[in-house]
Amino acid sequence: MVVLALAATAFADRRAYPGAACQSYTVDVEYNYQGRIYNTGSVSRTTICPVVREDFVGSSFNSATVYVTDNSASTNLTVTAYARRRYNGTTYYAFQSRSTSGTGVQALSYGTIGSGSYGSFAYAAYFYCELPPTTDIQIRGYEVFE
Amino acid sequence: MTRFLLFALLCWSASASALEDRTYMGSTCQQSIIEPAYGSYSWAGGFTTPNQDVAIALCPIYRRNSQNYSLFYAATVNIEPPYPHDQPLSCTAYSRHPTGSSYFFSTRSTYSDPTTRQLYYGSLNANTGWWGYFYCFLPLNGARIGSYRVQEP
Repeated sequence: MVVLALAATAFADRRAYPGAACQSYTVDVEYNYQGRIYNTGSVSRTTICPVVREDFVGSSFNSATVYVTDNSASTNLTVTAYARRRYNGTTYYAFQSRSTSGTGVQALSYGTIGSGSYGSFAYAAYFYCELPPTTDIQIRGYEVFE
Repeated sequence: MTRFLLFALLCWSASASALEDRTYMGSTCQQSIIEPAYGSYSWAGGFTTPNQDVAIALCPIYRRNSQNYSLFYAATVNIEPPYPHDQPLSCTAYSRHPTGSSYFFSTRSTYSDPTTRQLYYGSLNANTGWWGYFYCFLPLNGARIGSYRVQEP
């Protein structure tokens, strides 16, 4: 039993990604030397932060946290975690949304996603947001427990 | 049979916590800022600077086990030619705290060794939950980041 517990512990990945791992195909979105991503433009920009799955069996992740600096008193950021799978012409997906509130550095926490009634394997995972046009909101990075 | 099962589980456990050795293509990098130039991706999979201009690249690390106390024990950034040594290309590896301002860094430049096209890093400290990346200044001469390799504990 002890060995089983040890093995399970060794197999649980805890991955950390800088905001620089996120993608937004527009010149408005910049990355600074701190590895953060933010929008310098005048309209919101779609931004995707991918998760690299180590094991394609089981849920996409057991828990995750996205870290955001939100210094805007008037604008919040909503980040949605997705697990998505295309199978036999049908797209299956699950999602959870979290939003910042107030100002300061904030941790948006997510629970298990990409399992249960949606099936238990072959889900790609990522975080999606519409990054608002203000440098006061910056994605610092994200952490995923697989 | 029980002993064999225990031995097999121990082996599996050991392999599951084995070292992580990942190589990323330069196209994993992102342009840091719009000015002075907009970097681009080459057909060879690297990150380069068009129009003989300079660029700054951010190259993320997909850290596997963020519970370790080092971001990596070794890393290499591979620079592809052409490369004259009078225009140095430098990359700084950072590890950063998720909510605070703490960080560790290590800088390497091709200026220190004009004959090489590789930037070598030793171990870089980190803490639980921290993440990491490379922050690179690309010079005027069209040098490109071909790939980068990160070896995690």
